[in-house]
Amino acid sequence: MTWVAVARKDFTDAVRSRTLWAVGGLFVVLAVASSIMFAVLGSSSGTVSQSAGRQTMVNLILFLRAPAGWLVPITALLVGYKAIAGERESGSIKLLLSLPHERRDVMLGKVVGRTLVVASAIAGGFGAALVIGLVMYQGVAPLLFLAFVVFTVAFSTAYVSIAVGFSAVTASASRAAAGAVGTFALFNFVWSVLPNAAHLLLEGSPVPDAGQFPTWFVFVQRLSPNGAYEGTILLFQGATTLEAKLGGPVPFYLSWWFALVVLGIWIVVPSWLGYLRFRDADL
Amino acid sequence: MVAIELDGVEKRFGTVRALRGVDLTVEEGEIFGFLGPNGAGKSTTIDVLLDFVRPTAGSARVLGHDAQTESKRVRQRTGVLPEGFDVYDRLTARQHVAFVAESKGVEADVVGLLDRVGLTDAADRPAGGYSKGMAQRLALAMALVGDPDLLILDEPTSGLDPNGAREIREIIREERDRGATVFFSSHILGQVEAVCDRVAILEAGEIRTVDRVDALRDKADSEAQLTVTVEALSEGALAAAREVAGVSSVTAEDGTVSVTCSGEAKLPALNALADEGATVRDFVTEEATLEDLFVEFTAEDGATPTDDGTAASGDGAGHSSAPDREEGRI
Repeated sequence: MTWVAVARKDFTDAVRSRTLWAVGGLFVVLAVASSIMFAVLGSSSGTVSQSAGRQTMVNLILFLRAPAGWLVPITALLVGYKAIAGERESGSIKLLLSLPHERRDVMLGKVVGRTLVVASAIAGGFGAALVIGLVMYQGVAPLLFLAFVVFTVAFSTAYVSIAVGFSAVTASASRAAAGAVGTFALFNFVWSVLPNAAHLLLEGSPVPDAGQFPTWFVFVQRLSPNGAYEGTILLFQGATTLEAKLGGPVPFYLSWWFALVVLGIWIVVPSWLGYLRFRDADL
Repeated sequence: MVAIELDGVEKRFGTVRALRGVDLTVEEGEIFGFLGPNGAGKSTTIDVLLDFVRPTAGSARVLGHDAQTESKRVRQRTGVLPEGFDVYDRLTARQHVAFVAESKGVEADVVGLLDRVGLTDAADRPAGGYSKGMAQRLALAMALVGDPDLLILDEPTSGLDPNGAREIREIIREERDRGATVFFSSHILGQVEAVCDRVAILEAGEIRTVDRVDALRDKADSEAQLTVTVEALSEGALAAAREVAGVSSVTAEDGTVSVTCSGEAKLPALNALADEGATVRDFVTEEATLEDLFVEFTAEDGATPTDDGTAASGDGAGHSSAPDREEGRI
C-alpha cells in the first residue's frame, strides 16, 4: 500500500512543474474560450425551460468535447512519459526504490499521481467552463456535466496509463517520448480511418452510405481511447443519431457504458504491460 | 548475527562480467568498508543487495532476508545512500525526508535529521538548486530516517570537502554505536581506513581480500623499502645485507642497492652494507602504507607497490595517507 506515498510525492513534484502549469493554463483558456464561443454562437434565448436548459448543457458538453479530444491526450502524455524513464535517467529512481516500495507500488503510484495532475487541469478548465455556462445561459443539469468530467478524467487516465507504460519499458526518456508521440498520432490520426480502409477493401468505397453503417465499422472506431471517449457521449445525446447512422438499433457494444469498459481496458492494460517489463528490469 | 551474506554472486551485463562470484559476510554491528577502484563492481554489488539488479548466479541475504524475493523487507530496515542518484529538483529537503518517513511508515524528526547532516539552512529550498555535496547530505539524512538496522552508503563522501567527509565519518561512527551495521563503499582508501572495522577489497568483480583494518596495517608495516646509493660495492656487502634478519630481498643496479625488509631491519641492513665495505653516499627509506597494499591488491597484475609510495590507485583520486618517508645523508 506504499503506492499512496509514491502518488502523493509524485503529485507534489509534478504539480510544481512549469511545463505542466503552462499546459494546465492552456486547458483552462481553451475550455473557457470554448464555452464563451458556444454562448455567442449558441441560442441567444434568455429564458429557458428545464428541458431546454438540459439541452443547452448537452450542447455545451458536445462543444467542449472536441478540444478535449486532442488536448487531454497531449496533456496526459506530457505529464506521464517521464514518470519512470525520467527517474531512471536522472538517477532519482535509486532514492525511490531504496525505500520499501515494490515496483508495482511505484507503477500504481505514478499512474495515480500523474492522473491527479491531469484531472486537476481538467477540473480547473471544465469547472471554469461550467461556471460560465451557468452564468451565461442558466444551463442546468450539473450531474450531467459531472458525468462528462468523469468520462474525460477516465479518458485522460487511459493516456496517462499509456504514457507511464512506455515510461516503464525504457530507461530513456526520449524513447518514452517517442512512444507517446507515436501513440498520439496513432489514435488521433490513424485509428479512426482504419475502418474506412477496411470498408474500401471490402465494399469498394471508404465511407458507408448513411443509414447503412455496419456495426463493426463503428465498433472498430470505438476501440481506441479516443473512439471510446467519443462513444460515451451517447449518454448525453441519446441513441437516435447513432441509430440513424446504423439504420437500426444500437447493439450493447456500441453503448456508452461499453465505451467506458473499453476506456477501463486502456487504463489497465498499458500500465500493466509496462509494469511487467519494469518488474524484471535491471536499473 | 550476519547483516549481509553474499554467496557466489555473479552478474553479467551482456558479455561483461561485472561480478565474478563474490562471497562476502558482514557481521551485525560492524563498520564494513567496501574498497575498490572505480568500475570494480562495488555499485553492482550494492545494486544486488537492494534488488536494483538481479544476479546471474549466486544468492544474497540481507538482515536474514533474501535480497531478491524479500527485497521490500530488506529495504524497510535499511537506509541507503545510493551512488549516481539525483534528488527531486522541485521538492525541498524537508519534503524529501518526509517522503522517506511516509514510505517507511515511521515517524521522523525531520528538522533534527537535517540539522544532523548540516542542511538546516536549505531545508525549505527546492533541492534542484543544491550542490553535489548538499545533495549528498540530503541523501544521508534520508538514509538515517527511522534508525535503520543497516546503512548502505555508496561513495558517501563523494562531492564533499574534507570537513564534510569528516562529518560523515562521525555520523557513521554514531550510527554504529547506536547498534546499526554500516556497509560503505569507496574508491578512496583514506575514507575507509579512518572509520572501518573491516574492509573488503574488490577488483574486477572479485573479492581480493577481506581483513581487519589493523591487520592490514600490520601487514603494510612489515614491508619497508630501503634504497641506498653506494660508490664502491662488493658481492660480500650484498650477501651480508641478505643475511640480516627481516630482509626479504636485496638487489643492486647502477650503484643503487634496493632492500626490501621489515621496518626494524632497515638500519641493520644499512649497517651491514657499510660494514662490508660499501661506501654509502645517500639512502632513502620508505614504509609501505595501507595505500601500497591497496594498490597491490587492485593492480591488474598484482604488482608490488611502486617505490615512491604514492602510486596511483587506478583512478588517481584522493590519497590521504602520505608515504612515511625519511631521508638522510651521511
